[in-house]
Amino acid sequence: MQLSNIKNKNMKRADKLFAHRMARRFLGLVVAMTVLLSCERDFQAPPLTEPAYTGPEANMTIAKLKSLYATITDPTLIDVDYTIKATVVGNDVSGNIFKQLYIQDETGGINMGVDQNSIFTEFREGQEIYVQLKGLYMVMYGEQLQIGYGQTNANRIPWEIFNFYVQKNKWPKAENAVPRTVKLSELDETMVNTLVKLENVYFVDGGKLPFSASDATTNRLLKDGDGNSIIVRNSNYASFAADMLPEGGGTLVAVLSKFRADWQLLIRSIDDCRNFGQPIPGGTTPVDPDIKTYYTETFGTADVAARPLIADYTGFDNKSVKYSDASGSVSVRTTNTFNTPHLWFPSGKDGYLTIEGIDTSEGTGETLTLNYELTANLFDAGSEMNLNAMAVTVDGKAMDVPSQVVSNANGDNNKVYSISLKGIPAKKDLKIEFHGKAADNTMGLRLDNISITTAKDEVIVIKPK
Amino acid sequence: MKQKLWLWIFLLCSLPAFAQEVDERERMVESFQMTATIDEIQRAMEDDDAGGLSQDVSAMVIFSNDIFLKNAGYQFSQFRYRIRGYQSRFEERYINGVNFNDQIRGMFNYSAVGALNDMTRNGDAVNYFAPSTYSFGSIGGSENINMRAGNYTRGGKATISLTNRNYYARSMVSYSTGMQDNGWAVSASLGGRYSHEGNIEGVFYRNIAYALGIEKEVNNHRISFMTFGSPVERGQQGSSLQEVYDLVDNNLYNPNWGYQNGKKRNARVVKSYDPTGILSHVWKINEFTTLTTGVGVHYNRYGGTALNWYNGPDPRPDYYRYLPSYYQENQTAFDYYTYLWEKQCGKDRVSQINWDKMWEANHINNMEGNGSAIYMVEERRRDLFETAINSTLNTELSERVKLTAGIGFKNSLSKQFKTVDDLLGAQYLLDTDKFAERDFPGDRQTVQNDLQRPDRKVYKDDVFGYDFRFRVNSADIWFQQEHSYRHIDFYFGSKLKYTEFQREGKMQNGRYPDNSLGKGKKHRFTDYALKGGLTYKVSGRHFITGNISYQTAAPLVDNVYISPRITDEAPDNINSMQVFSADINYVFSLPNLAGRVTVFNTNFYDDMMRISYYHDSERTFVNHQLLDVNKVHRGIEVGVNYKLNDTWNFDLIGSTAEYYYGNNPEGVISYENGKESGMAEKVYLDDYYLGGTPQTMGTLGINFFRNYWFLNLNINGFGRNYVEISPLRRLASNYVGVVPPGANGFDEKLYNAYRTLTDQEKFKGGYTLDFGIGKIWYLPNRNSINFNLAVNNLLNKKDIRTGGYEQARINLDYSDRFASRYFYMQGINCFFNMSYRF
Repeated sequence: MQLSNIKNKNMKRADKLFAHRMARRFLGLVVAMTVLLSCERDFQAPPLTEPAYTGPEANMTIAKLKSLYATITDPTLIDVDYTIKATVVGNDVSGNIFKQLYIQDETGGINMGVDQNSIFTEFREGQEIYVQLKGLYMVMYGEQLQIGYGQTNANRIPWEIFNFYVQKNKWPKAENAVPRTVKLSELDETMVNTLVKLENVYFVDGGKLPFSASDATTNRLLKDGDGNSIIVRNSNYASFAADMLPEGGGTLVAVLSKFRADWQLLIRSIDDCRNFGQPIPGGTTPVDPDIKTYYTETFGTADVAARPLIADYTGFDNKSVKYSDASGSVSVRTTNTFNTPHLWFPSGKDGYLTIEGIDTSEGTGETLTLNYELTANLFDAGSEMNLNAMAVTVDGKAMDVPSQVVSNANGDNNKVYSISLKGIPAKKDLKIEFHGKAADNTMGLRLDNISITTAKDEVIVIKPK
Repeated sequence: MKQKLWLWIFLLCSLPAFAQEVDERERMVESFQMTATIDEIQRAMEDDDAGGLSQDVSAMVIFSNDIFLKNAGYQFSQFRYRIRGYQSRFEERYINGVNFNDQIRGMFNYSAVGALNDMTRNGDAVNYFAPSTYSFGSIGGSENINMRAGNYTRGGKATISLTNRNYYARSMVSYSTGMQDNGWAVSASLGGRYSHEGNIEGVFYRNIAYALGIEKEVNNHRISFMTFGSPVERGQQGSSLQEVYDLVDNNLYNPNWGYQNGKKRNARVVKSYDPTGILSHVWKINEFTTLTTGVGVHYNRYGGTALNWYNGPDPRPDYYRYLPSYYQENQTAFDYYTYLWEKQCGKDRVSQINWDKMWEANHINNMEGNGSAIYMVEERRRDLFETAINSTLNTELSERVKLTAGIGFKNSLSKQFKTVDDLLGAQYLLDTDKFAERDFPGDRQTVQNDLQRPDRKVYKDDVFGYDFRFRVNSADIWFQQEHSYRHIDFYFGSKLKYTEFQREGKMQNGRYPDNSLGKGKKHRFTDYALKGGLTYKVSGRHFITGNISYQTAAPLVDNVYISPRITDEAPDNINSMQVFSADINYVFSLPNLAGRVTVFNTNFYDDMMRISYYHDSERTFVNHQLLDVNKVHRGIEVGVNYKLNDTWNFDLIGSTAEYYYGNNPEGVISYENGKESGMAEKVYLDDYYLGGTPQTMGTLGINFFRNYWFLNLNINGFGRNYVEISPLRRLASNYVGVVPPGANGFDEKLYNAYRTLTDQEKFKGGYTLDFGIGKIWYLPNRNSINFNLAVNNLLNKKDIRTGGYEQARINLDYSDRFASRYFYMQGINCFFNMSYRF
């Protein structure tokens, strides 16, 4: 009995000890885990190592490469160990260039088709690169050679394959991409796909039209003082597509490319338009300094999303003259094409713009003309009307408005016609009335940019702009 | 005898709450202990009640030990099985009598009680819509987790668990005083789970949990306070494409991580912390009547990180343009991409996120560009502050009639916004919308995320992108009455609920300048529910029961708005959905054979859904909202336990059902960039199956119990699991140019694309084996040591798809380009658990 009691006691003590030990061990583990859990995992920024090219030296130039493959028609595999060293001069930084990289060396430039978006994040302007050409393809497109690939979409190089053949050297420096200053009259084949700089040029539609229409890639015309012109090709996906073309003269930097016989310029970003706003070079300017203007109305730049009627509109350029519309049917609008306010005369309704209180008295002794722009709404196929549906009365006297039939078939939809009417009196408090006639205005008319100026030497009464 | 008593205490304490999610692993481990002895519980109860055993009581005990639900909860959870296919909003969870389903997504957040298993083990679960003592209930069942300090047995427990799943170690320690003579009870628990990388690459787990409860009993009153929290930080797994799984030869491939400076970094990290406090009062008014009142306050800081990029190439490794299949037309490119994926896995330059490259792109942009982040990590926050009050009266109107009635109020404030988590070396981020920038070039108004602060530069931790609140208030009142007689039991009940919600924008979005900022329209709903049930007691061992219910349910605030991040706009006609549900059951309890056979049918009418995805051809995020969606859930359930002798018993549990869409609802598409809004088109969903859960699921369990050794083997069979379909693919307008065979203009390729894109994939069925073993050693001093080991998927099957969804993109020329994304089950996996009670 006693013995078993002692045994029992001992057992109990042993159990207790065991229990304590276990408990301590468990608690220890819990504490250890708590400690483990409380250490934060933090990430260190990876070291930024400047790319350093270690492959074979360049043994080919772009000009020579082009001459070697000048006669190909189908994509042709480059099967020789050529290496070129070049600098990135054009990429997709603004979205104007798409899946293309323009590179050049001292001898010339060429573009590479790459199947990747936002290549610019890795291949910046001024990035020096080495291209191992063996395995890539020379591709003829628009009678120009480019570096691409065989049997892929648009012969573009798959991205990882591009990464295999193209190595970067050093950090990019924009100043490595030096544009060559050229004149429009001196373009030659060696300049194709290189970065060029054109000084003293202007956009024909500067200040009037955006870089691109909203629904398609758009060509705009650039001119120099000598009347030479070139296409500036703008993608509607470019970040600057909706920006207005800059007004006046300036300097343009761009990639000069060629598609068949057409020279064209590709802007890399809006920063390529430099110093615009200077006087337009040459004499063939739309604005003649000899012409004096006594009144001009562009209907301002206010937000007209609500399409206000004339009576409600407050955004007129001229605050001292009075605008009215007896019919109440004419509204101020913008459209995708005409994105500054203008007047809309709806079809089948009489509409008026009555302007009172114009002061042309300073033009006494001069021949004054009334200029305005008309566009007919010829959106539907087969639509047609005569622009003389817009009658003009000056100081109570009906003006002789020329007849001009416009039609969708002739491509007149959204085409602006400038009309100039001679014989405007010089006086204080001149009254002019535009009347869209219900019977003749069958399609709807847009009226914009009204001015009274001294007449040009040769007054053209009506012309497409 | 003493040992037997301890076995009881152990078993009762480890009786799992029947929820599947609290901790499925633990459940699995404990399950076989329970199944092995379920008959013993029943017998013991019968013994205790010997003599005075009434059939009423035994029916209740039998029903509450439902073999199907107990097993389905844990055994099927590895297959992502959802009971009767219901959404989780139809499963109610209460803690100490207070409702804890959030009002935004309708779900209980199980991570709030993670690693607090000792504290959440006691639950009062109710099958489906059966009457309960704390709630009107819901068609998916309800459970009241009992976390009152006085309810825990006196003593402590320490647990260490090892596993090879998302975490590999867990430890928990808890201690409770039990209700002491002075009327006080205190209970506390501390736990944690950890892995620096779990079974799936890039998935890590860090969690600490605490709970502290105190209770005081004075006369007829018990007042308790419980507070707990379980802050967690974990890396997430992402689904991927079969092409990728095959290339890397790993069905658990995770596209979410990559190396940064040689260290694995996961782009998708969840940080969640839910401090919760519950004050509860139980007043035993008299012998027959109890009033339980509780207030629960809960704050959830929830954030999930994700990569974002602006004018940079897509950084996700499994983006379709980075896969070999994108270059099918060029063998060299195809081979090279295949080589990169297959052979470069070790370097993970192509097959995983390339963090270093993103840092470099930002660095170069600092040097040569504008310095705004091209790549960055954002944290999308969904914080929630909720206060709930529930008061429930339980009374016995007579010996045979019980009445339960209650009221509830809940106020919720959901704060949703995103912050800059990591600029990856960039100087700042410009807070504009990249999708709007593409569609509205030159328009500096529309692209703004906040017109009040246009072109704002944001830095680490700044709120950007979107910032809004949801405020939801609800009040309900309900009752249910239970009658029990010799041969018949029946119950009936009703509930009335009022819900209102409102959005408040904190930013004036450029796409929706007029209806994004400030408080929006208030939406109000009044809902009701009716339910009733009848039990016919054929004998004390055979019961036939039937339940029927009809209810309306307000839509969840999360589904109502067309694009809640940026606008208050919502459809005009928002209705409460209607739910009709009925089932008939045969329940039996013979000495060696017990179980249930059920036929059920539930119809959902006028449900609302919103699916968001990236629209490839429109190149923007799209919200696709479906209105008036009907769904049918119907099928049979069987749960049978056969007891051969005290050592061996067998379970057979299974369900086969159909969960499918019952109509062709109207869908409304809106672009998040504001370009298009409210494009309505019918979505052809009728008769497609609901995805995400096997519609046939069963298990045969063989259980062994002797000398406190527990062994079990389960053979699980599953099938008829369908891919979750994308509504976009079920729009007629996608297939305008397709004509059927025989018609003029038939194009076989187009027609096959149409067939492929509108077909619904059914995943392969199959079977798995699970094995469990456990042992309890009883020490004197009322101490015990217990271990168990559960091995799941013993046959190491790695090709079992547990879920998947169709991508919303369509390309008729390449119908297989945007293949479905899948999740797979882990191969063989173990959970080892050791605990010590003191």
